[in-house]
Amino acid sequence: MTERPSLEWVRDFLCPAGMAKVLIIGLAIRLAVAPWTSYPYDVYPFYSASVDMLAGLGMYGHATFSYPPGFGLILYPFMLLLSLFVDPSMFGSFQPEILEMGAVSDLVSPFITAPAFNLAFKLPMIIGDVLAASMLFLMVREWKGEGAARSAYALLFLNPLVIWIGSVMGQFDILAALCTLVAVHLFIHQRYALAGLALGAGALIKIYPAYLAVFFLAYILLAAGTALKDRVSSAARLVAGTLAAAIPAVPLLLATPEMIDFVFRRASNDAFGGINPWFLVPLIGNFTSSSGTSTGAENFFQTPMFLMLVGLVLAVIASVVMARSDRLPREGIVAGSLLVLMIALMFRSITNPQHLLWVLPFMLLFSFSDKRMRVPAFMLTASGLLFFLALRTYAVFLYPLAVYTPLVSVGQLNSIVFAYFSGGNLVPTLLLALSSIMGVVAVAQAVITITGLPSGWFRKWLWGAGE
Amino acid sequence: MKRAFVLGAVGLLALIVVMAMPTYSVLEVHLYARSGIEGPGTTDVRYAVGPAPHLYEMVISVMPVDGPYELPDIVIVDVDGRPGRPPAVTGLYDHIVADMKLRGMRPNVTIVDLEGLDLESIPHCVMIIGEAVDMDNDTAAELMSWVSEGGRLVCIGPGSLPFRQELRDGQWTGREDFLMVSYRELDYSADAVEASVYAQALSLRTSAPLWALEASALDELGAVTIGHIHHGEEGDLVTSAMLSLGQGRLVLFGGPLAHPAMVSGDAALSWDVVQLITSGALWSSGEPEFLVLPMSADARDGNFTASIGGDVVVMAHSPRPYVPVYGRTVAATS
Repeated sequence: MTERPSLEWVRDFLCPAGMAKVLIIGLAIRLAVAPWTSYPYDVYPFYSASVDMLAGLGMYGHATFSYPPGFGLILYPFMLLLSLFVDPSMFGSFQPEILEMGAVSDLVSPFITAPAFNLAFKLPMIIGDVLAASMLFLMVREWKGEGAARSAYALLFLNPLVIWIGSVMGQFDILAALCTLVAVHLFIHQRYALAGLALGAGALIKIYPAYLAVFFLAYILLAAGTALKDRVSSAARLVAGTLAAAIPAVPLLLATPEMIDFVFRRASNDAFGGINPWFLVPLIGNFTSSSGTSTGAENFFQTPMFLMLVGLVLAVIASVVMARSDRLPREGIVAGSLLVLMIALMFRSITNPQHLLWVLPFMLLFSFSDKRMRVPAFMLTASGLLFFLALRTYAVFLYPLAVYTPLVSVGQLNSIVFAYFSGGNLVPTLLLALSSIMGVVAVAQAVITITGLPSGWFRKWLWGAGE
Repeated sequence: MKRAFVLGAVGLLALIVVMAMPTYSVLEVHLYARSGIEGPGTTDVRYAVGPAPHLYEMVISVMPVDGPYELPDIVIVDVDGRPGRPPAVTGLYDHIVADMKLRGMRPNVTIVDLEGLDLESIPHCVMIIGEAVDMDNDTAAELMSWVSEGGRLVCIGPGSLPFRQELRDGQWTGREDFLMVSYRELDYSADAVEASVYAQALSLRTSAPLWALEASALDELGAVTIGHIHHGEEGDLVTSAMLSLGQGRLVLFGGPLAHPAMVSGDAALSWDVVQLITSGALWSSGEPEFLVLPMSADARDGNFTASIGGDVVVMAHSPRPYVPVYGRTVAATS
């Protein structure tokens, strides 16, 4: 008797009413591009972790995987399944011809993964895209109704940046973003333990969802009109849920204690740049030297650690301010979450385009409360895509197509990259700067939209709260 | 229904965690070496390894060495002097420790600041300088003496060899007893690369550094090419070379450590260093011989004879990571 409603709910969740066409089109695009594209530089650690796990060495076996274990655990069943049909020796091949590009670009690995591997590796991200769009649908439907929910679903699922990051690039940020969406949804419904569990699961995939815990705790502890005992109890449930999510990592931690070191040290970077306000640092370096963007810190105040600490302090301040604001609960929670995530995004040494997915779903969500948020969401999409293409051109994403089909050759792709850099670093640098400026302006506009800063605060200060 | 879902999900997660757990199941190759029945200058090697879950290629190398030795300590020098360890240093450390651990070895690997380097306390270790170093001549000369007395020094990239004369406007400059070594920017061409005997025997991976060593200068020093040779109109370049200094050994790699890690970065360099240590190449008295066994997942068992007598290190490895295999034995076959 109870089975049918459960299964119907699952079906409605995975393919909301009226969204079948969008789902099919989005999936078709993803499944068409996923096998034949990859970013060889980024995919190698995932390849290495995959074959290491299959060989019984664990995902940290060869010390190339430096993420928390969550994605490794998600990836493993897909790789195990793939290994039943394709021997791991066929997962990829070494292409020395790509090394001829070494003079102009060191960010391309000569190891090109096979189409079957690419598809299996990207399937979790494609599933993540579906689930994130469904989650957004659910949240918007509760807030603004069915029509708005359909728009939200389409805006996220057909967003070219979302498609590019998961199905072309092969980055798994959407999975962490999905966890944050689930966490916010559950938090709105005051399911604090489950919200903590979702946050913890997200932090097990990427660390950044931990920032949301700061906001959630502030929101609970500073809630007006609630007894202190209830507030403490709610906070305890949130923390307990977060800690419970870490349980799957405990056996791995005991077996490979160096995991903590890999995740927190190796994943950090001594370089600055990407789509954040610090993008000027490597750009200056590009004009003065031809090798790399590493700055090397002279003192603590120039280190990524200092920048992260500033971000953390700002996140705490923003959390307290948003928790004490007089917005309606749902809008306040969504706005506060978005603000804190934007701080996490901007106050890091390197902000890559895939990191934009941390905030994009929340921007789309908030845009159904304040339509002005649509513009920064689109700008951020454009910024991410431009950054990807400006970094080493579209050609570097097509190496699997060149290696495993006769449609194009490695040499032809190399020549595109050579042509792009033939005039020196000026054009790439300007394009990267443009994408960074666009991204930073988008985030600034989003902050202004949420907070009313600086005009809103100035008016309040001038005429008082009773205006 | 809901409870069944939750229980099922928890069970599935637990199963995945258990299956993804490291078991350190590097496939062990059993190796036996003894004097060859064909004569005193030969070594008979027998190998045996069980079946593997997947296909893999295996290489068995036989390295003539000066004498049996123990696994040395490894010291990585941090020349940076700024807060925190630079990625070049920590990357080497992580990969060397990981690669050694997979082989069941736990050597003492340490990172030492250049200022705190006490050469007398580490007489027979393997020292790695992975960055350009600015060292005064006297200190550089002390380091050179340390090598001559039996130390093993690995220098990665231009500027990392402290006791070096530099070629400026066609003239060598610097202390006369320092080594004349020069580097040139490598214009990589896949068609012009040739792997040396060492590179083939040990599957050395550093094949495309930004700057490589000029072969002509190395020939003058009597160095042995251990990496890859890049043939070019301006003269050959090599990615790594080894030369004897007194009782010690100096290994020079092209560099600097850079992306992509698998051919010119920390992963490749660390693998190469570990291979040079475990195979006995840093103590070699001649070129190795090797046997390449083709892709297979079956159990392997066989013999071969190497034309090498005396003390040897026999090592088996797989060149690619998907099925890591390892075996090693040290034998006196004279």
